[in-house]
Amino acid sequence: MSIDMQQFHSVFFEETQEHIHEMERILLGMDVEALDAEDINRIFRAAHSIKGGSAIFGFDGLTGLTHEMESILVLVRNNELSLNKIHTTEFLTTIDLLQTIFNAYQQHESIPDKNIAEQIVKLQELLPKGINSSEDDAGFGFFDLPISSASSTSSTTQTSDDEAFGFFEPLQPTPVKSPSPTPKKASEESAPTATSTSSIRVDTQKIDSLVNLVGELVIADAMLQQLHQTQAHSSENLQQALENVNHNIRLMQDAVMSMRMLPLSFVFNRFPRVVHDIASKLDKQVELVIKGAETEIDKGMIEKIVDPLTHLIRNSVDHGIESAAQRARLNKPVCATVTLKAYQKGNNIHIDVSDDGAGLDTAKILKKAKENGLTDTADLTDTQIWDLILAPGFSTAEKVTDVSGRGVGMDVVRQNIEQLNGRISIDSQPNEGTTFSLSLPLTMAIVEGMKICCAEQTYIIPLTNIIESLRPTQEQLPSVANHPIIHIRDEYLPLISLHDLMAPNALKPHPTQSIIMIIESGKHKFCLHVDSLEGQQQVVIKSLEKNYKAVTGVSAATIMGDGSVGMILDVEQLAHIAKQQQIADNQHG
Amino acid sequence: MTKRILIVDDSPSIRQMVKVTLASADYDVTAAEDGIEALDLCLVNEYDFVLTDQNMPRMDGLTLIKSLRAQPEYEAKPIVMLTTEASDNMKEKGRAAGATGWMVKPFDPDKLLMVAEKVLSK
Amino acid sequence: MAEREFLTFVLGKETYALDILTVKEIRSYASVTPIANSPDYVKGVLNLRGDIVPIIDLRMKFNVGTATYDEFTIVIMLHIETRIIGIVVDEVSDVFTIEDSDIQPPPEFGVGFDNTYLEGLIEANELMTIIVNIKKLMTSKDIGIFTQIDIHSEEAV
Repeated sequence: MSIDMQQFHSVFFEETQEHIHEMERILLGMDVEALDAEDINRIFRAAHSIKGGSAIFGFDGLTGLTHEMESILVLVRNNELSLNKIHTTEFLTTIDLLQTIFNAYQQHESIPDKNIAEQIVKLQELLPKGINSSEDDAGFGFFDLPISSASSTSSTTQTSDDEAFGFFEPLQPTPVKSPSPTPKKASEESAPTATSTSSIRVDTQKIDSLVNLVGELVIADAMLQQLHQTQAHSSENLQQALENVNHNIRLMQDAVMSMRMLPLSFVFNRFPRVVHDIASKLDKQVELVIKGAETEIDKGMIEKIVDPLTHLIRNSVDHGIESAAQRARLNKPVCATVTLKAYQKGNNIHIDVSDDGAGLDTAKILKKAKENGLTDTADLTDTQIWDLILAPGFSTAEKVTDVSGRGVGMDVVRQNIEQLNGRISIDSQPNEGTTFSLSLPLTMAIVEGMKICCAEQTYIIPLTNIIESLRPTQEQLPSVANHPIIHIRDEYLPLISLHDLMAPNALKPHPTQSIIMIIESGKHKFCLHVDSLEGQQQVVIKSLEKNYKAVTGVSAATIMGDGSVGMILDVEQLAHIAKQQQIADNQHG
Repeated sequence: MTKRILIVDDSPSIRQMVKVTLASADYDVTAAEDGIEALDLCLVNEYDFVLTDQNMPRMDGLTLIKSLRAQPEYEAKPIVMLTTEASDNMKEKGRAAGATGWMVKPFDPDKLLMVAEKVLSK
Repeated sequence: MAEREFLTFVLGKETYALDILTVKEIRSYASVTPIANSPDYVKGVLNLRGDIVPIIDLRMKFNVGTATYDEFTIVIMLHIETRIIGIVVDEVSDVFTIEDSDIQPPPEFGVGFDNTYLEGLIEANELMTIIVNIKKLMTSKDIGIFTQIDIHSEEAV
């Protein structure tokens, strides 16, 4: 009989990742001068769990290291070894290695056996001399309880130790009777935990289907509301009933969305370590202050903001914060501060990464940007100059530090944030510091959009992309037909007609009779000419690619209040297409 | 009559693995996360075999075994403890607590089935 | 002897049949949202209880009959691989069971579809009915919804 072990892998991975995080969290928060026995127990159980499971499911790379950790912790637990900073540091290194091995198993990559062997030796060296980590007996057995108590100290086994199990006696009732207080003790132990928040594990797929179903309800509700509005006579009862339904659906939507929400602490809790490690490497003193870690965001976004945030924080410590000597010269506190602050504002979550360092060197940035051909004018506001560091192909670090690379990652940071429908902005004061502000939507499944009409079709543009909408005057319009540039608010922006892209054969209204929208995507700012604005709407994102395929200029579909399908525009792609067209036009014109 | 087995272990993957393995041999398997949950279940249902890990939060394996042995229904039922510490010390503690036998982690499905068969066929 | 059930449908003057197992549901034609810059036979997409489903007009693609849209026009929603796709037809008629042995080879020409998409001919209710391999047709490069990579990954069977 063979059981396929693979079916248990994902559960094992999930619980092991939690154990790794827990161990790290406890170790970082531990004070070796004032050890909490429960902390030691928790780390022990986590390592023990990983060890057991890894051996059973064949992830041996994890077994050896956790075995050594366990051996050390057993001694600490029995007060046979006192834990000091060397131990905790070595444990932290081990945990990093465990994470690496874990990732390797998950991604089917090669296991760093050499590193494992070296780390095992390091851990073994921490054991007091003369104590070896216990050899695992590959045995089991049944105790053969002897009649005379003389031989009770050695268990005689029915089956050989090679068989990995054993029975204490020929399965007769044991004469051992525990004193009656024991059951009471059990219930006493349960009392303190009665107040702990109870939770259950739920498969994320189940939550996702629930989110989808609620999304459908929101759509159905919108349809009901719309139908109701078109009725000539509506009874008050019907109206009330509909309001009731609408209210409860909104509540349910909030409740379901909140199920997918996790506090940002899941992401933030690794950063004290990151800051600690980099600061040590660079010989700087840096303190990380975290505010608002209880702020929640959608689970799907949690994983995706780790990389950009890590990069920003590393950058702050590496490039933003001056050396200790420099800070002293400037009469700044030697210990620098990096602040990570999260808060909710309206439908967005804001995360600010600030440092009290040197601030951005505007002149240097401008110079480098010019060198790399990113701009040819000096006529830029400070904000525009700072935004240059987010452009691809930019770099200011004079030497490559292995800590944060060459600063070429900033454009990737921006891309990552935009993929989440978010925005990033920069503020800086010379000598006072720099702040990177991220703004993210509460959830990825829903988009706040503006409905627009073009050639009698409705499209949605995400609000985060819209700066302003207006009806232009004749003076603002381009005078040269082949180079559509529009002069708006002291800027010259390319003018793209949605008609040209989506419905080239339809009759296009004159811009002065319709709407120009100032649109900003990550890399482009432009004006979009549409027929009319139809109002703001929150829309549920639906995939076009599930049954059809990707459509240029469209990021996804949605279902409108009347049940029809609406297209959500991908402004980045629109800008790109328009640019291509312009280039083509220029070549011919 | 289908034999009922209770597995007690704080690791979800182990619980799942044991459940699937034993269910494939037509045993009726229930899983508990720790000693307290297990005790609650045992007081309500009668299991033919209890397999318990040692290191668990809230109540560990040894305490569970002792508590079970104090109940008349479980005085004679087979209880096997799972342990990674195969030292004689742990075996002794197990025996003293009243365990019927022990099984070392890691174990594979075949071993698990063999132990179950051994205890339940007598 | 293998038996299969087929749904017959009409395009222009010809009667065709497709495997009933691919049919998810049958509906009257309703307005669709057009997709910009798509071939004319891709009418657009519509909302099928929450799923965004593309609607293909085979009459336009293969130039059979006239592509009209009235109260008699039907859309057959199909399960193709892991997707739902709708095809516009003039009408649907019976479902019947046929034995594989009764299928005659398809004609070389004179039929709207390319020969490769046809399974054969059969006489049903005294009508010459052309059996279409609808899955092969809908996943083809000709129709252009599936990319070749999709087919390889979705083809588990």
